[in-house]
Parts: sequence; C-alpha cells; structure tokens
Amino acid sequence: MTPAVEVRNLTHYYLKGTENQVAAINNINLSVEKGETLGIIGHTGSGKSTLIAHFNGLLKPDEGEVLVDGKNIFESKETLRQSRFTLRQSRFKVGLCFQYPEYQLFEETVYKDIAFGPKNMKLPQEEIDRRVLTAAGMAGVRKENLEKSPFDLSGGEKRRAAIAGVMSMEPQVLVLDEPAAGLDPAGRRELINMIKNYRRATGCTVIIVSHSMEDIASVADRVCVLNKAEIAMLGTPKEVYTRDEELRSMGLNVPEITRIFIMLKKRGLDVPADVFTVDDAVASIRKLSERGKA
Amino acid sequence: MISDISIGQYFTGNSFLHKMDARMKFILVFALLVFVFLCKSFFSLALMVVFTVFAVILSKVPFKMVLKSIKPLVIIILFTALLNIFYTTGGTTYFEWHSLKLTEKGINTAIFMAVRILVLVVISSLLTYTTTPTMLTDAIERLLSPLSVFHIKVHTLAMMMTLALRFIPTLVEEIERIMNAQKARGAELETGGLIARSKALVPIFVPLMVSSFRRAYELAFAMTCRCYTGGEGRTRMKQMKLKPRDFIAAVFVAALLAGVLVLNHFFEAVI
Repeated sequence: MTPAVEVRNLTHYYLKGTENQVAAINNINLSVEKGETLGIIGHTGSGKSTLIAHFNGLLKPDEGEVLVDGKNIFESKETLRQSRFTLRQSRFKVGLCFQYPEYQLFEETVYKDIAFGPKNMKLPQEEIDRRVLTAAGMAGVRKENLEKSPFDLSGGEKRRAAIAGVMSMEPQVLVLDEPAAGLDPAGRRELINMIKNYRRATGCTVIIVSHSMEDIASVADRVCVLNKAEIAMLGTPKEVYTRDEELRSMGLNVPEITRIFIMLKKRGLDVPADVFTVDDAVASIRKLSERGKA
Repeated sequence: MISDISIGQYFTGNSFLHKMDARMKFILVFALLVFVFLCKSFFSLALMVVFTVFAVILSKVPFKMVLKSIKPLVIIILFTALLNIFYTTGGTTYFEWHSLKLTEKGINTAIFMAVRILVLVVISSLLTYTTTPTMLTDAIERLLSPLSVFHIKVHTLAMMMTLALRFIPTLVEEIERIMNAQKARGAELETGGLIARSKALVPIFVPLMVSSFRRAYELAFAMTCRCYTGGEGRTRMKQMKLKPRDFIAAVFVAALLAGVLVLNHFFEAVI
C-alpha cells in the first residue's frame, strides 16, 4: 500500500546561504501509513513544526522529496495545489492545523469560519453545509455557538472551532501541531477524546505533534522522536517509552505513570515497564494484587 | 520574503562611532547631511566623500554591509542621474538626438547628484549601523525635550517609537504564521485579479488586527504592573553623558564645514 505521506532524505535549512545557516531538519526519512496515527515528539526547536510544514508544501525542502499519496508534491505547480486539494475528487489531501489555531479565526460567525476551507474548495452549498455540521459535531463545537462571533467564544471553544475549520475540508491526512497547548487538563482530555473519535469516525490518517508524552501515548500507534533536527527514535509507544534514559538525555520525559512503574520495577516489584496510561496502571496493579492473594 | 526587511539594522561593535553619545551622533549626522547640500564644487564634494570613507573605516562596519544599504537605492540613483544627464544643458554638446542633448554640464550634474545621494545614504545608514534603536529613540527624546514647553509629551512619543520598532519583527512573524494557516485552509493569496487578491487579504488582516490589539493590551497591562506612569519623574539606568570623544568629533565636523566652504569658494561651482 502506498503510504499516506512519505518523506525521503528531507533537509531544510534556516538562514540559508548566510554564516548562520542551520539545518532545521536534517536528512529525515519517514513514512506514514494510511489510517495510522503518528505522534511526533521533540524538544522545542527540534524541527517538529518545520517537518510538518513540508507535508502540504508550505515549506519547500532544500534537499530530498515529499510524497503525498505516492506523488512528489513539488513536481509541478499542479501537484503542489493537489497536495492542498484535488478539485475533481473534492477531497483535501493534507489538512494542517497550526499551533494556536484560534488565531486564524476571522469570519463574522463560527459557521462561516468553518465553511472557509470548503468554500475555497468550491464545493456546492449543500455539501458545504453538510461538512460544516459534521466537522462542528466531531470537533465538539456546540450548535448554539455556530451563529456567534468566533471572538465571543472561550479559549477552548475557539480552539475547537478552529480545528473544525480544518476538519471540514475532510483531509485524507490531518496534521495537528500541539493541539492541546495552553488548554487546562479538562480541555486537554476533551481534545484527546475528540481526536480519538475523529479517527474512529473517519479512519483517516492523523499526525499529532506534541511535547506531552501523556497525550501522544494515549492516541498514537507509532511515535517518532525528533532530536537536534534528526529522527532519534521511531517505533510503537512501547518501544520508545521504555528507552527512558535516552529520552531524558534529549530533554524529554516519559509519562509520569510510566516513570513510577519503571521505578517500581527497579525496586523489585513484578510490574510491566510499558504502562503509559493511568487506566493501564490500575489494571496491572489489580492483576498484581490478585496474584498476591492467590 | 517579508522577513528580509531590516529596519534599524544595528551592527554590533565597539568602535569610536559606536561609543559616541547618540545625541551628538544625531546632531552631527544632521549637520553632515546639510553640508552635503552646501557642496557646490567637485572638490568640496570629494572632501565629503573622503570624510565618509574615513567614517566607515572608523566605524569598523564591513564595506559589504554598507553596500547592502545602498543596494535598494541603486535604481533611484540611476534614475536621478539619467534625468539630470538630459535635462540639464550647458557647456559643450557631445551628442544630440531630437530634443535629447548630452552636454558637459548634464554629465557633471548627473555624476554630482549620484555621488551626493550616495554620501547621504551612507552617512545616515552609519547612524543606524552604530546606534541601537533604543539609543536612537532615547537620543530623539532628549533632543526634543525642549518641546515639552508646548505641552507635547515627548517621552510618550519616544516610547511609542521604541515600541513600534520593537514590534516590527514580531508582526512580520505573525503575518507569516497567519498566511500559512490560511493557505493550509485553501486560501489563494497569489492568484487572481486585483479584487480577488484584496479580498484574499481579509482572512490575513482580521486575525492580525485582533492579535495586535491583544498584544497591545497585554503590553499595556505588563507596563502598568511594573508601575509605568509615563515620563514624569522617570530616571534612566543608562545616563547619557558627553565625553571628550564627542567634542573631538564635533570639532572635526566643524573643521569639515570650514573645508567645504573654502573649497566652494576657490573652485568652480558645478551646480
């Protein structure tokens, strides 16, 4: 099967041609399968945001290539356009939702703002209406908010409206850059659940950039760790999170609960070291105590 | 790209010019600009050129950087030279074609004008190369402070200038971010006619305005929290003090004025 997004030997320099030239990302090879959820983790400045801006051609690679659905998006102007949307199939390929997406809201009503993307795709009005309502439902934008001005909403509601604005284009690949940044714990939880529901409902590929290990652990099938412009680790959460020491040397942390379990194990308790969520933790402690009774 | 714009381009250094008092620099640069216009003959202008080159060497700003400040003005310089070459007539005629006449005086004026603009640009860019924007606005504030007699709030004006300069890069960054976000939602910014293009700016400028106001409120709040109440009774951490080197520079520039006037007197005027 052709991967949804693939990058080959991708390198991008900042301040190219000056003495201060640095590689923001250096020789990255990565392929994201269709229907997969990939988490990209990295320290601030590790190149996460630069990497994802290549997926829909906002940034042009200095070396290497980007393939969306098996096609090099920089082949011609037409292919670049198609990476953003294909008119014939009226299907958006890569929908990119930036950090703090609420700062992109501009329309008079939330409804119109969510409709901005589909309108740019020149879809018929009924289709636009359908998409706006579906996306609003999926992103958890309440019906009564649709006719309000986006500037009257609360922070969390704005965030959801902005994400709905990307979802309404029904992209084959949804890329979210730090979707939960700056939200309170409840908002975070809701957002993670929203992403899970979105995946279940659409079966689309989702790429999430974050530096919260907890968030990534609970949604991602695979995790890609970026460090100093290069891929440091790539694998299932289990494979990545058990390399506790290495992650810490990169300025990252494994989820708190995993750390507790790693420490418990060091002290001689017979617990697994690959526990990433509190629910799993509860389950494995139950198992342990039942075994103890028996 | 928009990010190529460089305003208040400061070149870090520790030269004589860097260490001079910003107020003195400001006044002297203003005086020098006037001198350039006082020049009448090639010899007095040549003296200004020699002085300018000397000042560049003294500032230790690389020649490459200085050339960079001239680059955007090349077209203007060429254009004025071209206009002058044909519109000033007098002296020997070298070439004639219909109403266009190439004369000795035309060529002289064209060269004179081009060099004059070059000197003007280099001198004023030396000021920004050797003075940080903060120092510069500080100097303006101090120099304009007599205006407070007329109830003009000089401090407020200077503060506004400092803040405006400070926020240029921030806003440029913000515009790029918003543009990318809207492009990702299928906004077409680079195609279509004039109307389509100006319509496409709405999704950029509304969020930009909103966040500028938000930033302004936040900044005002942060300043209030640090007890900012305007210029009254405000002291400075870095006191501006005139040092011997400032007077040496002033004397030097005064000598230059004398030189320009003497050369003007003894040699034939070009314009």
